[in-house]
Amino acid sequence: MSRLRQFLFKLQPFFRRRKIEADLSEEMRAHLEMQTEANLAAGMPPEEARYAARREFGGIDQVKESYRDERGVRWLEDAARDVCFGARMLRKNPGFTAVAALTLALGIGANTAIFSVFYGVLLQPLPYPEQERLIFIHDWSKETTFDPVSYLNFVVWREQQQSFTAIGVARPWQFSYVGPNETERLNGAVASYDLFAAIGMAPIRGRLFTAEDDKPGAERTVVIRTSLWKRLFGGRDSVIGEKVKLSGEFYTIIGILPNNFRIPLEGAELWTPISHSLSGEELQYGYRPNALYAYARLKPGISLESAAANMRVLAAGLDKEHPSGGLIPTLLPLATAGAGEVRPILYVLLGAAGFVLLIACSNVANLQLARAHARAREFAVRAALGSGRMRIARQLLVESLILGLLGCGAGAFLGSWALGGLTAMLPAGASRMDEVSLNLWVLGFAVVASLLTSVLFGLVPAFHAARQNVREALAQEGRLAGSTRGNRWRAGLIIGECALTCALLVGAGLMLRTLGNLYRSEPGFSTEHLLTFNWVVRGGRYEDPAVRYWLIHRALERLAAVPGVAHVGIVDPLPFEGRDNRTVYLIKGGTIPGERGPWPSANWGIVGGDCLGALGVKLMAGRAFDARDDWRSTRVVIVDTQFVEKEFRGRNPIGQLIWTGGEPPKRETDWMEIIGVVGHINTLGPGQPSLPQIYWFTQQTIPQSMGFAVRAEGEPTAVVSSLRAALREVADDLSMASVRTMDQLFASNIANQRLVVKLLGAFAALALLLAGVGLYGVVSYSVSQRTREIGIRVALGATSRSVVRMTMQQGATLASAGLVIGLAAALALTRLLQSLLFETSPHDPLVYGVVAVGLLGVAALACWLPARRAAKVNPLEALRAE
Amino acid sequence: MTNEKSELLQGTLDMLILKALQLKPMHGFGLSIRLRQMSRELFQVEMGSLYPALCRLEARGWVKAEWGVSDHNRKARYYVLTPAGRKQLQAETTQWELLSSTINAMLKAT
Repeated sequence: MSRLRQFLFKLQPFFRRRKIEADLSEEMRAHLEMQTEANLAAGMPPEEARYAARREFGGIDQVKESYRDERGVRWLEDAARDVCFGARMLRKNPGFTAVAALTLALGIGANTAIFSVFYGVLLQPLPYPEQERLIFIHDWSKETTFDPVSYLNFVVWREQQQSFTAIGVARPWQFSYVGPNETERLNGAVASYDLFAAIGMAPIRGRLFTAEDDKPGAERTVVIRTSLWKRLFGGRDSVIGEKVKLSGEFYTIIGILPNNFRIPLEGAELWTPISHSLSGEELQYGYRPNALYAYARLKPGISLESAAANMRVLAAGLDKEHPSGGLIPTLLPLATAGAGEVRPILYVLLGAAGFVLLIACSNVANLQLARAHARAREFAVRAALGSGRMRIARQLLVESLILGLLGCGAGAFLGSWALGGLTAMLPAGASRMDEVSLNLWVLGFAVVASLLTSVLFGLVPAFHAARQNVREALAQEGRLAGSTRGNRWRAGLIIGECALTCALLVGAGLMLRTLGNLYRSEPGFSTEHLLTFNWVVRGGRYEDPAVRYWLIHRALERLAAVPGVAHVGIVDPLPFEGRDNRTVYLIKGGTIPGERGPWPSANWGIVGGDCLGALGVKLMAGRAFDARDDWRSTRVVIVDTQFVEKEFRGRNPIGQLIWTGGEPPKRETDWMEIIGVVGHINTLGPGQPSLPQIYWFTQQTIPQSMGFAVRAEGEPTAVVSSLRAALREVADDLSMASVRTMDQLFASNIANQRLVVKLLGAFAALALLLAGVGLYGVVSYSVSQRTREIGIRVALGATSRSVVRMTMQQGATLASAGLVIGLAAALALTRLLQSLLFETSPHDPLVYGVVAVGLLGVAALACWLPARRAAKVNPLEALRAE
Repeated sequence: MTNEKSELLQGTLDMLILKALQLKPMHGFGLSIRLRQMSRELFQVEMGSLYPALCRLEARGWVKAEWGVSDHNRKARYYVLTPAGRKQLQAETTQWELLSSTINAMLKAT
């Protein structure tokens, strides 16, 4: 209590300085007068009485000063004085302040924006209990590095694993819901009953699935999210137990989940047990249905590594029993697993933003150094008047801190503005994107970043000023004082800037090359005038394959007749759609793969109609599917050239029999005959690895969901409405979904690379600008320092060309030193970019060459401007200025 | 006077000021006279010590300063001992007596 009292008392001078000072003077005066009176009373003459009183009292100012020391908080007062003085100095140089603060704001703004995304996607904790124990599992094989999980394999995992308290699977699923006004598509998922237990989520109403719910033939049940509950059912409690019709089937609503449950994807609003959705093919070992992934919760005390080892052993045993292509389950922490492809991008961008900030810092440090130099006399005078070196250094640091905070404020503003654009550019599918915002963590980051940078750019000038020799500085009248030490600092900073800029330019250049290569890459089909959409035929009468057979037949016929349409085909999955289906296979008469290494894998797709014409793919051998092939005839397949190359080198594939699935077919008639060979197309997207393809025929397999590819004669979007009308004639309770042109699909596939090119390019350009300005500053500063020397040289007969050469040489030396260091650094650093590059070596000589030439060009320009000024130095004036 | 010595004496000076104020409130000049008298003209307090000491005591709440009028009708700043200051004086006196008697005894020991 008394401590606090004391502190408050000592704080008073901050607010009532004038009053306290007046009191103090008054008190001193009264004291002196009373002493004088006492002396007079003792019989001294008036004059002497006053002197004696003064003598006895001692120095009034010293007494006052020691009183003040006692009265106030010294360091706080000094700091306040430094801040006031610093602010005044900055106000006096608005140009310097604006340039420095803006430079910092650019650096801090870039970092704040990138860090916001970084935090939201990678660092922010998940909204699930004990999230550090949550694991995401996908499959891995030699041929495919990121595969979905096979359902039957998962069932074995569930029975035999020992590392998890629970393990479940889920895959995204769309449901159609007939509302009062229109048919709505609902995003949801099918999930094994134990998914919720694995994540550790409790319902806010009702209950979640039990093992009984997740059995084939069980009563259909559904769990919905709060958002859907509010939207469709107005948040009624009585909704539990009600039946709702989804995709033609009735489901009983049993529970409601909180809105923050986002497995397996952001927008999922309802979940049904997975067993209702698994079809015959999907119930095979080694068969990996699209986008089925596992989620598990580690037992307490079990590490990720030991759980992974346990799962590998389990999977190896399983692979012996039911060959599945040598799949190895890969375990990732759930918190960061979703970031997937975005993660390397974010690391690269955060690093690049850091580079920009460093460059901005060294530019400001350079400005501060030059200014400190101009203020050398001020410092010298202060030092001569007894100001300690630390005090001067502190003063400069305080100025830097003020600048830093100015930069921070402006930077946070710039950052929040840039963030809006940035989130719009990032791939929409990236997980947790909607959680990105400018929050306290991010603002804290901005403040810490700006404080750190102020110390960084403030330390060098402060250190430098503190070491100045007072006598020298005063004697030189602050005119010539170009101490070599200061110049060396400046040169070092510029070299560093050039090196960082060079590394950024190389990174941006490599990404640009990659983007070019992606645009030029050959997908194996023609993308022009191509329109794609999905059509789901599920529920009710459509569960009957015979109904679907005729429906597909009619739809293809009707669509082909639409004016403006050249070819219509069914391709599922559609190329570039980001889906692929994988399976293991067996060739009759070939070696049984299980005995020699893992089973081979291939993608499979279902095609129908005139898909060759629609995609512009050539038939290489054999025949295409036709009316001969239907559900009564032998199953036939078409494979692609990559498949032939892999399996039938030089032999004729036509007529060979193959089987897809982990175990040999039970009946001899189940073997499928290869009837044709088509060109290979890149299904997953440009720059993605692709597997050999096996195609089935829609009229034999009769799928429930299919992708349509429509080649139009002109602009593909022009035929959309007539296509929609034609399909409604075929079945008015079904609608087309995800209508996109192939160009749009292509663009969304390379969105990541485009984003990196844009941002890295922007960062590199910013860096180049800052480095150019920095170099310009240093060279022109040195020209102004050396005006007299140049004057003498000219007087002694130096030509203006030789003056220009001399000046430019200085800049060129710095820039080339930076370039060499930067290129070396780029050689090492660009390896980190590797995962983002496509058909581009991280050591691409063209990029390095262009960067070297470009950087030197900018450096030359930055030096040439001050050099020209140097050449115009009039020797008479320069010498007279002495 | 060197620095260490003044620090050594600081506490003592504070105590003496409290003692001087025990009888009646006083202004700075009065205090300097009173302190000299109390020491039988041996101890001359410097103003550079007296005023900071007064400030210190005020900060701790042991004295209170208020403007008043002196005997000679002059405006002066008077220092008044607060109840907390009285208690502090008592405590310090006891402590000092104990300390000095102990030291005296030790010095006299043979």
